[in-house]
Amino acid sequence: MRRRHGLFNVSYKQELALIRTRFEWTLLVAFLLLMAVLPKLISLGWLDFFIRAGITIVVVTGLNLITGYCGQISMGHAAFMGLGGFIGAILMKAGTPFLLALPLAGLSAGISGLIFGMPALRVKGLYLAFTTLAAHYIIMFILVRLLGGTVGYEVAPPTVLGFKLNSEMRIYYLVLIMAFLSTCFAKNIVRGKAGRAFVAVRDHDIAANTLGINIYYYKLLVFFVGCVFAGVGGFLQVVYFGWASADTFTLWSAIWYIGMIIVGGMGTIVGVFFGSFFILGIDHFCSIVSPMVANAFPVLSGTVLGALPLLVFSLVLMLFIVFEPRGLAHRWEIIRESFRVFPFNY
Amino acid sequence: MNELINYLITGVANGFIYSMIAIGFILIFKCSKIFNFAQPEITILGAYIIYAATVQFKLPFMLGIGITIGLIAILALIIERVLLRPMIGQPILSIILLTLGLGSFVRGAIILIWGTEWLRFPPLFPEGGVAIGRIATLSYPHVFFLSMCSLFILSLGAYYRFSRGGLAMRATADDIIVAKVLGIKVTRVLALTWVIASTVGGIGGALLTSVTGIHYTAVEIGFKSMAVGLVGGLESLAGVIVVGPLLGIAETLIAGYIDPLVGGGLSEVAAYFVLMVVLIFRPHGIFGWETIERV
Amino acid sequence: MLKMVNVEVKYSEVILVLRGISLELPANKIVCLLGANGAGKTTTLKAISGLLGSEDGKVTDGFIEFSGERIDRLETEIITKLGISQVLEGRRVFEHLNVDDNVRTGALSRGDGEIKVDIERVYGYFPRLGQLKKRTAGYLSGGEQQMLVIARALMGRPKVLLLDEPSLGLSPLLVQEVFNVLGRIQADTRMSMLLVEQNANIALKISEYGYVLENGRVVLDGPSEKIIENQDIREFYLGLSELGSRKSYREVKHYKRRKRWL
Repeated sequence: MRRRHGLFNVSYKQELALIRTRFEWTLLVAFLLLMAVLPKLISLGWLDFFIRAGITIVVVTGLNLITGYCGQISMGHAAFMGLGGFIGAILMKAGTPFLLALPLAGLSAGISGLIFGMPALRVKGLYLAFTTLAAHYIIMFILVRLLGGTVGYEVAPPTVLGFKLNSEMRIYYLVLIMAFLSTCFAKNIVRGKAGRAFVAVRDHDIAANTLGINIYYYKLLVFFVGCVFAGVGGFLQVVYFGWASADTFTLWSAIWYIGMIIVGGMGTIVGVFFGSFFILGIDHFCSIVSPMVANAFPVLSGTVLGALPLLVFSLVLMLFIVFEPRGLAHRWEIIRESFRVFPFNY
Repeated sequence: MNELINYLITGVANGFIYSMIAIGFILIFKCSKIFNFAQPEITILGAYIIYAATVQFKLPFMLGIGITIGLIAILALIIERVLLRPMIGQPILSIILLTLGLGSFVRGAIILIWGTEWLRFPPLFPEGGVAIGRIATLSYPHVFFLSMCSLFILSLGAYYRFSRGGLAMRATADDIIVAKVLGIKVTRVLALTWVIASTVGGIGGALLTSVTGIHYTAVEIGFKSMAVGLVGGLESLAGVIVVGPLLGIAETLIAGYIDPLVGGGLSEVAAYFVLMVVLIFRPHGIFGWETIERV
Repeated sequence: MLKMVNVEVKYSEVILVLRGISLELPANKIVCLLGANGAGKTTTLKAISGLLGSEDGKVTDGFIEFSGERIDRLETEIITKLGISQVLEGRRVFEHLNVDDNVRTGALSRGDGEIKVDIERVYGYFPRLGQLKKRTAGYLSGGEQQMLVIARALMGRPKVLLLDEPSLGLSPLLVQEVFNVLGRIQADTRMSMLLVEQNANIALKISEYGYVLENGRVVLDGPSEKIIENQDIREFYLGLSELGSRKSYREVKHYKRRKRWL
């Protein structure tokens, strides 16, 4: 990252720092403050949007680590999410306190990620995409058959540190904190040794192996960590919905998540934010627009609500892949760079 | 005993359809290294088009098949030209996602046009079937499946192996740049593979759903065909022919004997389970070629 | 017959590889293009046969003419149909097809006419290939593969043959054999050949005219006999010092002789 012309990093600590100028600190603090007071400013419908966005950010951050940073295509992410949600719901029903159920949910998802990520040690590329697809079906089968999935579990509002999470606003704050924590955590992983190893594995794993990076270890590690994120996100989702059911964790959700990291920018932390908000925004937009479309074309009627988001989403995805495969984050960087050197071109 | 043979026959018949669809899909992969995740959706699109033709527009069945082939061929050409040609040489994740996106798009269009309920065909085949000795009967639908698929597989195989067009396909599959330099019209070869793959997928989907009824979740057929292709090995057309019926048999046997014990549903996942196990031991499929990677 | 005039080629719009080169390939002649690694020789050939597109390259200035027609904007398949055939670098055979199929692929762009005759002729030039007809091409030795790719290119009855480093990775004896055959072919068919080579010695022996490429520019051109005599070429490309003897690396002092064309 470059600083303004004339300013240089004079210490190693400065080089490593995430937030380098006072300006950036103020931006960050302002943003966090805005997020904190958000519930007071917006309507309930939008609050739901932001809660879902927050949950999505947690989940997609995990997927970004697996697929974006480490290059392991994972189509089973929704299933891991579901696993975390279910385990968490079962635990809470059995009386486990929230603060214990949350990490356990994440952990169980992480362990299943380890197990189902093992094919990644043998197969690559599209074969891996397919084994993760298979993993999705198998996990869903387990959830539905063995854990009573389609009927599901009701999840009573849990009590966290004395606060009963019985209002949207409280859940919002929980999700906000989790999204913030997960982003920080992911950013730190990415900056460190593991993050660099992930990228090496993504770019050319055989070459990385010859350099002494244990690719088996790192591939399993990224699946574990990424799935912990997914499990936590899944648990948050069942808490928010109040219900754990297999229907909310579909293969199409997994594809949407992958779409988010593509549209947002694979392999960037900020891309997760771009992608999630953009795609969820499209979904929201479609739900607003669908009644109007249905009125205009009565012959299509009831199916518009289901189909329109799918159509728009897939169209957007395809356009991005063909024209801007590095996603919104890349666009954003170009914009930022052009502002930095304004009024010159380059 | 009767039951067993029935299961076997149904399994082989279904499996042959998986093989047929998988062949189209492998053809695309061999020639352009593109993994067509939209194949499942195109498969059921074929089913829906035939449904529209025969039920909604009340056209005769054969005409319906002709229309299906025609429409899907046109769709395939458009897809190849607009979406896939710019993507040759791009990283594989982009291609996978592009075809996934395409699949979602087709899915959305299907839901938009035909809704989400189960649709049924009028019975296409007369009741009953051909008797084999005194052991079993091969029902008419299965006769049709088996004969059509065998016909297709044989003719495609012959074309691929012995004709000039097939040689062009094999050359393109091997090294696309060299094929270009030799003057082979690579774009035409690719377009042809797409058309073949898509129409075969569409017909296969139509055939299978004529027995079970159509629902948008019938994309399962396509995914299972992809599994067949992967297990057989993406470079091997012959592998697919062997694996398809095996998978079909496994499915019907599990559905018949094991499902009642477990409460159902295992037959669906059987394909994926087999896939994972096979890929762990043979990462390129049973008959696939190992790619030699140089660092 | 084939003319490149002031051709400039850029990759990804920012990497300038050819900086305005001009060369001419007259009919019935063998012309060689020499240069070290990275000089732009392969790019020159790719510009002629239209393969730049697949590597995000473009001819951004100048033009390429073949028999009076501009070809720098045409598709590869059309250029091949016009009669320009390229033998790519690195012996790229169709690995999974057998030798006979490989040879036949060379004729796929033609109508059915006299393919059998040409196949016979080609096996006449390379009798060893005739013995290996059913062998899978990927398992052939380097020399056999090189012969196969030349045979395959010949099947298209080209008017111009572009050869990219045919001696790459071959033993000296085999290099001699391949180049002998090339000479015979040229004498029989009277086609033009543009030969890109790093083995300056053998390239200059077989060709009538030569160009030396460095950093994307033609720095020297002339009849091959003259180039062989040129002191700079002898020093820097043929390894012969001023005294006409083998170079003694103990005495290498780069500044003793500077390239006169810089």
